Amino acid sequence: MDINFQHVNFKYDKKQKINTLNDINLTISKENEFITILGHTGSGKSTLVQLMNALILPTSGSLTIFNQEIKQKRNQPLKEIRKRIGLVFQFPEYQLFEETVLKDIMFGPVNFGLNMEQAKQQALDTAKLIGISDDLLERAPFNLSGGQKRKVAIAGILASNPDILIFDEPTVGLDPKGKKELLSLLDKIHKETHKTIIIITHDMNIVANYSNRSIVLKEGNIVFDGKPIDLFNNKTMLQSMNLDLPYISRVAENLKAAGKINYKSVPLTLDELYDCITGDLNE
Amino acid sequence: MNKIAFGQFVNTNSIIHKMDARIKIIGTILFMITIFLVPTNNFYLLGALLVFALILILLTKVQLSKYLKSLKSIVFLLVFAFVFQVIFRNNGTVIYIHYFKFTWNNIVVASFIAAIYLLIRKYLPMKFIFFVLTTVLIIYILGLPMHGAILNQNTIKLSIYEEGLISGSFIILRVLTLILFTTILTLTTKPTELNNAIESLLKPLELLHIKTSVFAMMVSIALRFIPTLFLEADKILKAQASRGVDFNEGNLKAKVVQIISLLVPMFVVSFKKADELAIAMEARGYIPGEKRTKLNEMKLQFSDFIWLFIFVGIFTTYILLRIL
Repeated sequence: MDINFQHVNFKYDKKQKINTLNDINLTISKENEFITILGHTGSGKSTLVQLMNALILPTSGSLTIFNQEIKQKRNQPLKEIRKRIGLVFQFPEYQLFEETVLKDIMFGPVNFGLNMEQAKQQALDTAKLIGISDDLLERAPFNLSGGQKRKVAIAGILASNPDILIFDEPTVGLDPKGKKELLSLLDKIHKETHKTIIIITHDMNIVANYSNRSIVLKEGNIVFDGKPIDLFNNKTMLQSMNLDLPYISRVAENLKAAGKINYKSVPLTLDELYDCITGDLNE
Repeated sequence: MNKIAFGQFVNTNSIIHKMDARIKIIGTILFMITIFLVPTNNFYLLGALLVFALILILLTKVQLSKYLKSLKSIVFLLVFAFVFQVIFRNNGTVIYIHYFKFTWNNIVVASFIAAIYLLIRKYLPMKFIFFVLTTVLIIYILGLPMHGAILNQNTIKLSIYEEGLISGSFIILRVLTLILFTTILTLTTKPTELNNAIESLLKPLELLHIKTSVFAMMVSIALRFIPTLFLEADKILKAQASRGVDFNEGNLKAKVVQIISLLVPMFVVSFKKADELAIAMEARGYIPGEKRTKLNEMKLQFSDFIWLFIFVGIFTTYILLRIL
């Protein structure tokens, strides 16, 4: 597997009594996975994805990324890993610094060893894909609106053409339209290229609508790793993890409680709910 | 999460902690002056001050290791000052003369030891002690009567005089006492308390139309935001690292780009935070220079007057001893 955690523990500080991440066992493939990582603030979600990009190193245990064992020492070659795994931080607009939008998008590819021409081509392609209009490319990134800045920052990661894409709460602070655009873009990338996408989120609707695997963290432990439908069908587990159902599922639950519809597995998307209702009518 | 503990404050709620911060500052300043009022090489008077400092340290109930930690940073300075006093004093009673003999054998052995030291230095604990030991050893070896061709006919000698030793020790003791007094202040007073106390002590400057409260506010905001900016810097550092910036390597040009990729976002974040803070302060009615009430009004207690009396008493005693 492409990312492989085996009994990985992590502490920020040696003096820390409780591990920030505790005995993490996880394998992630670079293809066909759309993973959502859930959990409360402080449960270790951001720490987990930073380990995947080798930005922080495991305190103990074995972490292998693309067949490279990540050791607990500095000065190991990590550039290749960072190229192949793109990590978009929370509020990525703060990482912009170049004079023009185009230069900022090119920054990553140039660092990863492309020459100027190739980097420019990659940047232009990415800008097109993500919907950054040409007239923005020569403007200073600081004069853009918040949503546009976020797009530019995400383009800066996508332009390096990573194999796995990780997003730390990508939709926070975006308006509903921007949110929808971004998510459908990620979905499109996933469907067209089959690249694995990992999203940290608090939004159950993203989990229900897009992901095919969910990982739930609680106090540094993985408490659930599996299909979202299995998570949402298990009411007691949901409650113990303090998670909600997606909107559609809540509507379905109320309809079921009122005796209007019936189902075995709770509908997660509008289509499933529609099928559930029309199916009942057909019977 | 917050790795940067600011200041050295340790709360043990002792009587020193409860002392008014203004009195503590005044006391520290008085003691600093007192230490330099002690006549040179008068160990009794300086020793008395050191004993007083030790009594205060016991009263603070803070672990001694905290004080040792603050002394650790100046050990180098102390040893340096001592060595200079010992080497460059050349009048008075001689107690020891060390003759250097530069023969081939001496030099080879000495260089050998120096080389070993340089090789294993990385793995040594307490580097400084080993450095001193090695230096002493090399000097000793260079004085051994070994055979071999003599390189230098004129013997170089290192004479140690009694006065040098005495004044060297006196300097060490003086700086030690000084550091202990200031450490008591920083270990027992919160940075905000210190800031408020300085503001209060500088009040008289307002007669000259200098707005001390504004400066105090600036200082406290700066202190408050140091950890926040460290966290921001860490975030940006990681974000750029994931875009392929390798902060460990690169030539000069790459280094410049690395620093710019960190600095520009830091400026943007700082200005944004400053802007937000200014608006939040204004929304809560802050007007620079206007009179503000305080949550913790500093009031002098009876015990504070006793402390002040003790401090001033010691100070005047030393002045009188100096004059008489």
